[in-house]
Parts: sequence; structure tokens; C-alpha cells
Amino acid sequence: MLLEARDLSKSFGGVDALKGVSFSFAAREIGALIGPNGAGKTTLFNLLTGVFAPTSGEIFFRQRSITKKSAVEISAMGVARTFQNLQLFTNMTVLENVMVGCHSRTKTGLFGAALRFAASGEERLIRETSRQMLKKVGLEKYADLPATSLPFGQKRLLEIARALAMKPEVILLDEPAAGLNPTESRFLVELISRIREEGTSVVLVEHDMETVMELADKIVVLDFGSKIAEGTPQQITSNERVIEAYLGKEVTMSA
Amino acid sequence: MSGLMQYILTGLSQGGLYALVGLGFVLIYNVTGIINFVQGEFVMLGAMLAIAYQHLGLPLPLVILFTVLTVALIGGGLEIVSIRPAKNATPLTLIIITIGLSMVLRGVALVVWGTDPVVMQPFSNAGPVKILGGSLMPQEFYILGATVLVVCLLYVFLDHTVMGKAFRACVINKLGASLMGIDPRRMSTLAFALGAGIGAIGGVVFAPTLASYDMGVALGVKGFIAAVLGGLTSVPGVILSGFIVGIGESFGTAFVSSGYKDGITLLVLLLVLLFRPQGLFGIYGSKRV
Amino acid sequence: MHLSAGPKLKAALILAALAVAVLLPFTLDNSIISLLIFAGLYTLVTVGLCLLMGYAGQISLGQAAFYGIGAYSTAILTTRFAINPWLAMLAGVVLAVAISFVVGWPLLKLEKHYLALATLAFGLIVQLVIVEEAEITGGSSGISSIPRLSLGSFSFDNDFKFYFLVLGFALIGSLLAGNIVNSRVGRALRAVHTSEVAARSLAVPVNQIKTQVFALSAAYASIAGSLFAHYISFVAPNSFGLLTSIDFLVMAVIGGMASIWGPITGALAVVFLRRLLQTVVPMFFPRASGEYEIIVFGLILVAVMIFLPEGLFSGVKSILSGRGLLKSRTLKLKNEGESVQIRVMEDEQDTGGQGNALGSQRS
Repeated sequence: MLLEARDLSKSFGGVDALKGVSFSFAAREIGALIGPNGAGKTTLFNLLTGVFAPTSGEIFFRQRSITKKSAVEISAMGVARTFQNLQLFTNMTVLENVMVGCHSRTKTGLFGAALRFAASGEERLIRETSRQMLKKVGLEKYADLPATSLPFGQKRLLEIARALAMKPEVILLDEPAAGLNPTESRFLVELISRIREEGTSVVLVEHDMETVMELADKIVVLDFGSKIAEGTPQQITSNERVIEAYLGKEVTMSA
Repeated sequence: MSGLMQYILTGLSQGGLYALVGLGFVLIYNVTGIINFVQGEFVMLGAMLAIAYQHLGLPLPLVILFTVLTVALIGGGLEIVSIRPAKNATPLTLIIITIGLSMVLRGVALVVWGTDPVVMQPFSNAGPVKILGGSLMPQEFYILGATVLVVCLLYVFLDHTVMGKAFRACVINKLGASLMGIDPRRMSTLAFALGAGIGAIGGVVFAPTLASYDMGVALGVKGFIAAVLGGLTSVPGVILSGFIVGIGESFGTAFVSSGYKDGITLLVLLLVLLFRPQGLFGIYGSKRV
Repeated sequence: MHLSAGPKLKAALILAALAVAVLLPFTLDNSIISLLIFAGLYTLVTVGLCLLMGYAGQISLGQAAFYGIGAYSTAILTTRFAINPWLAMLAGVVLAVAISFVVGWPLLKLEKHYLALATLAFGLIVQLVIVEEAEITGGSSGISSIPRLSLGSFSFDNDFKFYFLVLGFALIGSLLAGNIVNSRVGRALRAVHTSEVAARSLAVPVNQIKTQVFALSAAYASIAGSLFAHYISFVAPNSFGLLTSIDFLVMAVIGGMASIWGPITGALAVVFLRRLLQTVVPMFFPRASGEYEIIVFGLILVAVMIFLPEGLFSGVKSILSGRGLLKSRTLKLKNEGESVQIRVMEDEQDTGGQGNALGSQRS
């Protein structure tokens, strides 16, 4: 089991965002987290990545407990993520955004940086790796543009490239397809498959059912902060509770 | 015991002043999100103008009225002239603007009134009043009374007038308020005018004790401390914290060398920031209520 | 079509500026050299502050405390214990950095406004301690007869020589800072500035980095303070209070924090503006003795913040390049130390061919 949650709960003041959620995703799997708006998906992501701590319950990454670990520690262990509301570094170029992604795998500190020549080898490496990442998502010709100048869909891709630069074990994508046009969505689906092929596991939060059905090996369904189903796409589409809560009776699924 | 009471009483009256200064901060911060470095100078202007109006021979009630109105106008005017034009300014830019404004006001005061401290005639010439073993000068009562009065008036304004409610709406949700037809820019100006006026009241009641062109800096810092201790978003919080700072200082002078008494307040502030940054009553992370 | 500072032009400009800086003192009289020295010292402090504020996005209203720690450390060690001034300066740096770690680690976790207040309190406390511990620090009267700095037998005993010393420090300080900005650490700092959450998600140790840059800014300020002490041979608590911290803040913001040239612009601007006002204003108001300068200074400060909020350096650059004040049309990049201006481009992407590459589609 790569990523596992046990009885996870989170309340904010009086509001229970998550109640006793348990699930697991295996390595080299593409997992998906779906549910209506407000079901608690992003909250769950935030818990998994250590942005805040759960009110109760535990989280395991590669069988090690990460419940009490900080976001920085969890990221350093190999958990990468993207954000639903883009969190690009707007004061930097496209390439520089990705270069920050290389931070955890490199080590030049303040002194090395100040005495520039000492760092140049590593800098070259960072630059190279970052360009490769940009190539992977098709943004390499925009490397030196300000990150804010990219159209929305490509900003999403940039965030993914940045997260991938960490060479993570698993990447958590928070609604990566939101706001993308059909061409961009296609590209995204291919990209996610490629990511898995190259050895990184993926967990998605997504609303776009086509994408989810196509990609996911396992789906976890949330509603009002509780898990209502967990299984393969076929199992989910035939699960009555899920259909009722989320997919709607009129939607016909072709799995 | 009488010594204890005296410390408390003195602390309360000093604290009332800090509370007033801090109240202005809180109002302005809540509506505009700006840390207003000019607040201390509003207090100073209140003091200096009160003395000036008094020299003109006006009776005390008019002195107070005119002073508060003048400073409120100045506060609103400054907002229109220097805060409004700075569209899309970062918090840092706005802080620097208020720093610049405070320099201008201090300089103007220096030009107009020079460096010598002046005092106003006390509001009443009665002798000290004894309370529970301590005694307070009448003026100190006036400071306390002013604080109470301002809080009551503010409450009435915010809760029972249309404009006051619009004000509160702006504090709670600027976007929502503007969608309801409330102009946040006018509220911002109003906030400055109110904050300035309240600061001026503090200045007026303090003027019989002391007034000089540079009194604003220290008072501004103390008021700011009170505001932060109270949580920067809470009116009862800042009032209470003002009194706490005042009393703390009062006791500090007694038990610690006089130079370090300021240090105690600052240290307490640092500790509060470290362990409870939302202050006594505030909510951390919420920029406004 | 517009000015783009390619690497050759930039190098030429830098060389020209250096030449001016080196040759200038030969032509000027002492009072101006003295101003330049102060500008140099303040540049050093401001560079550190700029790294902290402009790049890492933190606010400090207490830099004067570290300036003072550097000044007093060297003052005390050289006058009371006859320690070599350079060692004393080093001791000052060590002390400043140590204090900054102790104070910074908890404080830097606070959000901006709270941090500003906390550093304000910290600065005031340090000044208070300086005044109160009069036995060591000389209290309000300060310490005098601080010895000159010297290298071997060469003593920096006049303004002319000291100018070059300060120039050297300022240049090296700026250079180091420039290197940092364009490095892995610099990127991490800038990342922290924009989105701490994202930085953490990339395993950037946010709290550590903030503390490190805080310590760095303390080191810069401390060195400047030590130089200050050896320059005027006298230190007193008044020079290290809130108003001084505010001065540094003003210099950083006025100069502009987006470029490593900002601090020197800000320091020069403030120092010379003050001097200008001191000479010019009495011509209009002959009976005045200093009050009007503070008014004019404040007004200029407000005006610059309203019209050139990015600071003088970036603002003037915008104007010179013909873009006027329309910052939204130009975007400056820090890329390998170059400043490249981005043209408004035709769309190359398959996004329906609308608009240009500069933020055309936002959802």
C-alpha cells in the first residue's frame, strides 16, 4: 500500500469536513477521488500532504505514519501535489517555477550560492532537469516567459511539471482538468498515463467523469465528508449510492 | 494596599488613553486592512489643536468639538489624498505611505508649534479625588470617562445607525457590502475620519497633562501594542488590552527600574505574539473580523 | 522598438558606474564624500533588508537593532578590551546572527503584520537594553573614541580612504546578494514570498529559509553598524531606534526591491534628498531649522509610493524604456542576472489563437 488513510476526520470549528474516511491506494496505480462539490476532497488532499493535521485518524505513506509530519517532511518523502487554485510562483519564469521543484533533490545552500562558481555544476543540472520536465508537458518553448503569461490550461501543466521535478513517488493532482478545453484535456490524460508508466503513482481529484473512468484503476467516492464507495470504475458506476449521490440517475456511463 | 490601588488607578487612566489610540487603529485596520502609522499623530494633533482652540478663547465644549471635527476631517482628507490614489498597493506600500504622512504631520506640528511642550488647562480645577485608598486627578477621570463615552457612542453608531451598519458590513465582507451598494472607498475614508477623531479625543483629554509635537510616536506604539494584544479585530479586545498595558506599565514602574518598564510591555507583546498571535480576542489569520 | 538591456549594455553600464564610483571622490569635497559613505553603509543594510523583504517577502521594522548590535559590539570590544577591530566586527556579526536565529525562528512563523510588529518590538527592546545596561554600553551617553580601522600599517583615518573601504564592502555585499538571488536559494526565497504552501509542497523548508535570510540580513546590518562605529568613532543609542529602522525600510522600498540595484538607489536617494532639502529648504524658509525637511521628505515619500510603488529603480527604468508608467505592458525577468523585457507576443499556442502571450486567458 502506497498511501493509506485510516478513519480520518477533520473538523473546522463546528464543521465536520471529513468523517472517519478510510481508503488506500497502491503503488503504480492511478487513483481517483471523486464526489460532489463540498464533499471534502481538497480537505483530504490537504490532510494527506500535511497542510494541516487531522482531528483524528491516521495516514500512512509506504507503511510509515505521516499523520504528525509537516508538509515539508511529507513532500521530502516523495509526495508531490498540485493545487485546485493554482499556486504558481507568479514572480518567476516558467522555467524557474520548475527549478524550484528541483530544490529537494539538490543542496547548494547560502554560502554556495553566494560564491557563485561553487554552485554552477548543480545549477546546470537543475536547469537541465527542469527543461526536461517542461518538455514532458510541452511547455519548453515558454521556458523564459513569466509564469503568469501562460494561458490557464498551460499554467496547470506548469504546476504538474514543477511537481514532477521533485521526482516524487506519488503525485496528487487536485482537479487538473478543471478549466481545460477538450484538446488540453486529451493531452492531460496522455500525460497522466505517461507519468504512471514512468513510475510515479498518481491520485487525482476530478469532476470530469470521462477522464476519471478512463484513467483510474481505483476510485474512492466521498459525499458530505464520508466515504461512500471504493473500488474499480466498473464497481463504482454500478454502485447505487454513488449513482444517487453524484452521478445522477440520468447520466449513462460507458465504462 | 493603598499603593496597589494607586497603581491600578493610574494604570487605568493611562490605559484609557492607550485604549483610545488603539481603538482608532482597530477601526481603520478592520475596514481598510491598513496598519495606520499616522494614528499617533492624530492623537498629537488632537492635543495641540485643543490647546490652540483654547487660546482662541473658546469654551471647553466647543474646543473639544472643533478639535475632534478638525482632526477627523484631516484624517478623512489624508485618506482621500494619499490612500485612495494608491490603487492596488501592497500592504507594504500602504504602510510606507502612512509613515510618510506621519512625517508630514509631525513636521507641520513642529513648524506651527515648535519643539516646546505645552499644556492645556485641566478641564476642572478640583483637587485629587480619593478612591479606595488611591487618588486620581480629575483629568484622569476625564480620560476614563472619554474612553467609556467613545465606546458607548461607537456602539450606538455601529448598531443603531444606517451608516454604522454599512460600516460593519464593510468590515465583515467588503465585496458583499459593495454589491449592496455600499461604497468601500467612502467607508475607507469614513474609517480614517473616525479613527482620527477617536485618536483626537484621546489627545484632547491628555492635553492637560502633556502635549508636544513628538508625543505621537510613543503613544502610537503603545496604542498599536494594545490593538495587537486585543487581537487587531476586536473592539472590546483593544479596550481591555489598553487597560492591561496601562496597568502593566504602572506596576512595571513600581517593581522594575523605570527604563525597563517599557521593556516589560514589549516583552509581553512578543510573548503574546509568539504564543497567541491572535491576541486575547482575535481570530488568527483573519485579516478582518 | 524598446530598450532591452542585453548583457553587453549591462556590463558597460556597470563598468561605467564603477568607474564613476572610483573616480568620484577625487573630485568632491569631504562633506559629499561623507554622504557617500553613509549611503554606502545604508546600502549594505538595505541589501540585507531587500533580500528579506523583496525576495523572501518578510517585513522587518527592527533592522536598526542589528545595526546597533554590530556598532556596539565593535565599540565595546575595541574600547574596553582592546580587541582588533576586524575581530570585533566579526564578533558583532556572530552575535547578530545568533540573536537573529533565536528571535527569528519563532517570529518568522507569524504572518506579515504580526511579524512587522514583532520586529518593531524586538528593535525597541534592543535599544532599551543598550540604554539601560549603561555600565557596558555607556547608556545614553554612548561610547566614544572608537579606534580607526586599519589593514596592517594602512589606517582608514580619513573620509577619502574610508570611502573606498565602504565602497568595497558595498560592492561585495551587493555581488553576494546578487549571486544568492539567482541561485537555488534565491528561487526558494522567491517561492516562499509568493506561496508558502506551494513551496512546502516542493519540500522547501520554509521556516528554515526565512530564518536563514533573516540571519543574513542581520549579518549585513551588523557589518554596516561596525563600519559606522569606526567611521564616526562614537556610538549612542539614539542612532539605533525605531526611526532608524523606518529609515532603512524607506530606503528599501523607495529604491525598489525587485532588483539588486534597488538598495543603492534607495540609499543614495534618501541620503542626498535629505542633504538637498537641508540646503535648499532654508533658501525658501530662512528662519526654519530643519522642520520643513521632514515635511517635504514625507510628501516625497508618499508621492513616490503612489506613483512609483515598485521603487525608483524600476520606475525610472520603465520611464526610460519608453513604456512610461504602464507597468502592465512590460514584464521584467531576473534571468541569469539579465534584465530582459518581454515583448507583447502573438499567440503561438493552440488555445484558439486569441490574444497575446501575456495573460490573455484567465479563468
